[in-house]
Amino acid sequence: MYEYDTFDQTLINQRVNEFRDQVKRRLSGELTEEQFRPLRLLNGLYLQLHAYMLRVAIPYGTLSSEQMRALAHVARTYDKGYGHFTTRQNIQYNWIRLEDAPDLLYDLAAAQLHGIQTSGNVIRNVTADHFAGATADELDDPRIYAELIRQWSTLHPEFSFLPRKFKIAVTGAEEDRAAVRFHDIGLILRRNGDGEIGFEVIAGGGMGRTPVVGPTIRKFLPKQHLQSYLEAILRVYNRYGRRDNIYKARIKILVRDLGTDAFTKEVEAEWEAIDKAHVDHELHEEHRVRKMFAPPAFVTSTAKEVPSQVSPPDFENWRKTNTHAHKQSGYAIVTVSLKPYGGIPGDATAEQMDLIADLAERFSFGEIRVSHEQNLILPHVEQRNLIELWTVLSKAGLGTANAGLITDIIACPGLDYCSLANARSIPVSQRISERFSALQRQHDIGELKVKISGCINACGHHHAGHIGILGVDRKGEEFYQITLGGSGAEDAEIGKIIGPGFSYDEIVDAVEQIVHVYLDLRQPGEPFLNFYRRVGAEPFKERLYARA
Amino acid sequence: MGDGMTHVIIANDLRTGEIVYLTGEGSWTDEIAKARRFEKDTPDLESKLEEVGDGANTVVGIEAIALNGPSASETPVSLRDRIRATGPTVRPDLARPFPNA
Repeated sequence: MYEYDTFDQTLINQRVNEFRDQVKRRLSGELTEEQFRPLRLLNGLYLQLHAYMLRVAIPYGTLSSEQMRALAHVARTYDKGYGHFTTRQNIQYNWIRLEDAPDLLYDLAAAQLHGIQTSGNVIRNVTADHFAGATADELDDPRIYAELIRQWSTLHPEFSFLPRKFKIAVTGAEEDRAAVRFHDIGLILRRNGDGEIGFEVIAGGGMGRTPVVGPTIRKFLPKQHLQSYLEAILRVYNRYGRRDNIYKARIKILVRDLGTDAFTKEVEAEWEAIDKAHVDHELHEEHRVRKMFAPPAFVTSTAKEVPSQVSPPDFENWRKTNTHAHKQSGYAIVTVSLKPYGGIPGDATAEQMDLIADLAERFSFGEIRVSHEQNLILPHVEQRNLIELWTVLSKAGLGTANAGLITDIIACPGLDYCSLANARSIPVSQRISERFSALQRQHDIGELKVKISGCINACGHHHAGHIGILGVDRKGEEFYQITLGGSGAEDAEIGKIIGPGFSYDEIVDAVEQIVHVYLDLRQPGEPFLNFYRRVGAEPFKERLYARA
Repeated sequence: MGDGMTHVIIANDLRTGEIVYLTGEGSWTDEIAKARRFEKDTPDLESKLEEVGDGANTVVGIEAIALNGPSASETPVSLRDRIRATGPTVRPDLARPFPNA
């Protein structure tokens, strides 16, 4: 785990003091709302439908038990007892009082947490594979590089007024769990022919109203040049990115308009001109950071599996979906589902957060991860402890055996909370979850990623859903457009619209019809996405629109 | 605002962020039933919006919303405004009281 040095801590402490003064001046009337709004947004404080919303950055989705307890404390003390883990590996609180915000941020700062760069046209919180540092299929721990990017990008003066927000994701694994091709910059750790570690660099991906699978602009970047190459990309974007039209301001539009080759030439030329020694990290700094992400003191277990007694079937179901191969023999990565049937995806109560913190200390070296799929991860659990862990989780409503299944739905806050939304997302996810709650049926269906957004900004990643659902407002009524065949993984693809949308009352039946088509026509063992890619949209269209 | 509907003025309380409505006395209330109704097609609404906006140091996000029906228990026309009035539809435990709910 990365721990702040004096510089980091001083920076966020000073920011809290600065914001306390700004809030005081706003409440006294010395600052107008027009003057204050950008200041509160710099600290992640938005105004939403019901109240202020605070977005807290969780760098590359990594938390300690102590930090999780701080998040629980905020939920309990300053909110209504819960928080919402987001598709950006952050957490949001929906009921914050402005007058409480300085004290809240003070408490967070004590746990090395803040809301800086969770809003605005800046480099946002860097995301990473949520299995980083634990998964067996990893070349190197991406959090080391994500942390170096965090340090480089924090309050970077040249990139504090970009044309639009900017998101970077890093993975070190073969399986892309970080959706790197849907980010402004995606980085995949690679090894070259000489055995050196570096990055494949992707630029210009994104979701929103113009979804783009980002192209690779450099197949191999030596890792020591990480910051200088990122700086070159950002400079080209800062120089040529559009500022006249918010809908055309993301880097994906620039890359598309210039063309990947021309954009890459601009970046390479800029990179040539950069004083790399001045910008790139020094090796000793990489070593310092790497030490903080050193693997914990794994024990060499002789009991690699659960104790010899017969395991309950419910546990076996959970183990099948919610554990993942660990790089260390005798250990497993555990996904703690925040998707109870009929529940709100990503929501956790203060009590659940405290429990996860305790369980992380007992079973996972005090480490927790937040996934962009709105679940929590205990990355280092001894396999012999799995059944005990599952028993405790289940009693707390956290033992749902559905990771990767149809009820493990991503959903943005939608119109229930968000001032940008056109339609509700959460109740649609709840109804789908309830409809498919029979576990045997879920297992029969297999991996199926349903992702729901309440507006075209696509915070629910609907473009990357095997089944994507986009809520729209049609003459005051909620309608839902379905896309099929999207993927946020290494085979990234944008889902295609299947046809006319469905009403709020119809949408769950429509999803069920899609599943029926798949179950009726699939080949043995064929996953949903493979099936769609083989047969195309036609069988689904025939079933969905047959009545028309 | 010339849509022929009754309107009220809604905002968020500056200190707490809670939903409030403008009353006939010029204060803010969390009860929509006590909000001042602005009759359809009057310039009164525009001037009041400007007035409270200019002097706002107790509320933010001031806007007018349309209501259905003429009585004190009418509901906002848009789903967005109904949700603002009553709270998230997915958290009935956090619902705000509504006259005809």
